[in-house]
Amino acid sequence: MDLIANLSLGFEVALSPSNILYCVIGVTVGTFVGVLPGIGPMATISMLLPITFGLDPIGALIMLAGIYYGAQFGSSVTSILLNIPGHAAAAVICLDGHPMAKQGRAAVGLVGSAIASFIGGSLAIILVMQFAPPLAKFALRFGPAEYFSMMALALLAAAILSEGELLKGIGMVLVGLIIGVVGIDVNSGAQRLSFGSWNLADGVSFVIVAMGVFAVSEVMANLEPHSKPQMVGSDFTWRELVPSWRDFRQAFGSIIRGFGVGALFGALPGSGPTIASFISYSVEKKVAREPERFGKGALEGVTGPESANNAAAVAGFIPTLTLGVPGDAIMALMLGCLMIFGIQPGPRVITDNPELFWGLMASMWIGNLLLLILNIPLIGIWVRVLKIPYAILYPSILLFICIGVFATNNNTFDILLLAGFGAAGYIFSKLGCPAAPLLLGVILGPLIEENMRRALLISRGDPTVFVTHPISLGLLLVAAAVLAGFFYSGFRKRRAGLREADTTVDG
Amino acid sequence: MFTRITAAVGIASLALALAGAAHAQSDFPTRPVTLIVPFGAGGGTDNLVRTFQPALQEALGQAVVVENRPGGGSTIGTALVTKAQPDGYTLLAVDTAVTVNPALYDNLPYDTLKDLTPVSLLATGPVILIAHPSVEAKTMDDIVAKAKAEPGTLTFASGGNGASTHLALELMKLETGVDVIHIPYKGTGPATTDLLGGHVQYMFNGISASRPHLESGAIIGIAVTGDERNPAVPDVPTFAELGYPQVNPMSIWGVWAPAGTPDDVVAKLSDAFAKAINDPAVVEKLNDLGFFTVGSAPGEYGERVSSEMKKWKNVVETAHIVVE
Repeated sequence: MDLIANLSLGFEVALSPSNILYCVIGVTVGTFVGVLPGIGPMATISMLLPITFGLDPIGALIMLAGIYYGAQFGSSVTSILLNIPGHAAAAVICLDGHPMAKQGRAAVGLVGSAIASFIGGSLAIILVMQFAPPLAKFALRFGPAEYFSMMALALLAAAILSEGELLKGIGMVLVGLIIGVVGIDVNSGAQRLSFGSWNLADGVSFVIVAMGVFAVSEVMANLEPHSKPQMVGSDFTWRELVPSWRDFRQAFGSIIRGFGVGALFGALPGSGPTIASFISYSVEKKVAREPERFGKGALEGVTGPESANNAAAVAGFIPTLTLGVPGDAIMALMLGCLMIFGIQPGPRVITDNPELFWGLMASMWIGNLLLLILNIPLIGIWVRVLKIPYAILYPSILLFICIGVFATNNNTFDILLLAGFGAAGYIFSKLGCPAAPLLLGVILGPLIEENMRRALLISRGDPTVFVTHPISLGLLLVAAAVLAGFFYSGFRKRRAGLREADTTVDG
Repeated sequence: MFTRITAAVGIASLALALAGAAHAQSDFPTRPVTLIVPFGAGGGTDNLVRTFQPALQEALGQAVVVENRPGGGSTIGTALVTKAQPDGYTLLAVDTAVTVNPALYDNLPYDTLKDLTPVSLLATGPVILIAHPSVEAKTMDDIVAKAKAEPGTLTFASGGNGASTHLALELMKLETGVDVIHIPYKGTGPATTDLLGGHVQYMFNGISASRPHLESGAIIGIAVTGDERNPAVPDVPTFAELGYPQVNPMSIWGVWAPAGTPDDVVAKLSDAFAKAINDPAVVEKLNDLGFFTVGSAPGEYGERVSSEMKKWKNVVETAHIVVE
């Protein structure tokens, strides 16, 4: 069969000594930039891009891809241990990963996330190998109307994400939407909320917002005189690494669902791992039998999003390699790299450069396996990171975050912006306002606005475009169902709460 | 921390510059040259610069450091170069944005022609008008006829308000007097995706980005700009051939130094850039990417920029393009 021949070609390429070396370098660097807070794949790849021009194209691509998916792998480590996300896609892991660590289940969370990453990534590779061209065709059917409806559905998920008071959650989404508006308006070209500053003309990067409100604010919280004592989890045995049957059962379904979410959002240009991991979290919370466990250390809240962001990282190669259009900024970098090598990205890459496509796919699977082998033993080391005195640990983390944020655009203004969002995040957490809906608002706001206006521009102002396109209509119906379900369960909860209040006088 | 390092580096380089000022001109360059690209890594200008970087290092006999300073439609990186020491060690490599921005923005933090001095016109690139195969009007004449019969119905995607792909459209509208809908995107990548999906009908785009889709039949080529047909897409006629010679927007890439850079340093740099960009291996690679290499003298680039600036000012004012 063709697939067998293609696979053997792929593994032949990927298993050549030099390509294995590039793969090992890629995933190792990826793991470390994933673990180091703030230094994400974007900053790393843009820094390393010039170095790769000396390599052969396939080796360069294997290495850069390794950094990309390797970074998704490692990014949850600090989310779980320190409540500080390695990069934006792992912000959502903090919600349940860190409570797990507080309960002394850090190792379970780390193993769960490593296995979820591996399964999500591996399934996505199979998907890309078998179905990349049809998937790319399907993705092309998503026009502005479809994107609007999908992002509206995703924003609704933000409401579900919110912990605690609903009003605060909605408020934070709105603040996120306002931040997302900053910069040059795509449609009119007018600058909005940029206060005449060129530094704000391109808007506020969600990476800076994520690092500010999740990471810097957490560092600040630890400066408080009565801050929490040194973390648990220092006493660590290798036996903890073996997941219990109960853990496994809990996590398995979430990993598969996470893969589904990640594959969909990864294959669609313009979304990517961060959105995928947030949506996966919402899905898990929605399907869980006891949603109240979420936010208090639910394993599915870690494994679902982890599987999703790895699947999305892999599936992101579908539009990049089959259509030649980048799914996100990192994919745009890789396309640029291919063009320097004289490889014309586009629909013919798979047929014209089969060794590139199949070699990359095979190397990704090898890379995912390497990551699993690399990460499981490292867990012992990561857990010991908690023994580092906070006086050394937190300043180092702050430094890494600054380096990561600076390196993306080489702009010192971004560091000031980071500090501002750090302070804002600290105030938000003091007020009990959840940060996750804010981040989703920042990411989704511009996408929703842009696509809605674009859809209306194309339909010449006819709003029925959102319900006459079948995919768009389907997505809006799901959104309506989610909303109805949300109000219904809220209503039931309130009634149950009232009944409870009747019987127990103390409340 | 960073500001302190930057300050230290700044002071050190200032000291070096002062010490070297007396005799630097003749033996320029004596240390690495920094080439600032005011766009992100992996973009068109970045690809161009990285391709000839090795040849440039050889021509200058010094290391060339490429620094990406993206943001504000090239204004952030450009502003940096205008404030740099005018010693030839900090240069700017930029695309058509430098000729368009003065017309688009009334609050640019610099005066392009006063604060910068041209070094060399590096390359030019034609633009191609492409369409989804499902469109009815598949030739320029049909497009113009249809747009006149049903004004405001044909949709044209672009890489954003004020982007070169948008200005090409405005120039076409101006010269043919048609009324079509402009659909701006954040960059030509997402615009191409929607064109491939048939969600928009037409688009002006770079040649290299369009070529694979033309070859696979996913899009069709209507016309290219330039004086003659492009070897990369030999089947696509030029606008002039079709009777629209005024529709001739070209992308141009060039190098600038801060104003006040000594003439002999500029001349030396200009020669080195011309040599690097016309290196046979470089030319071959760049042609494949859709660039026509030039490597002009400083004056020639300056004149080209002045005339382009006038052209775009006219287009921007007539089309009422707003980018504040």
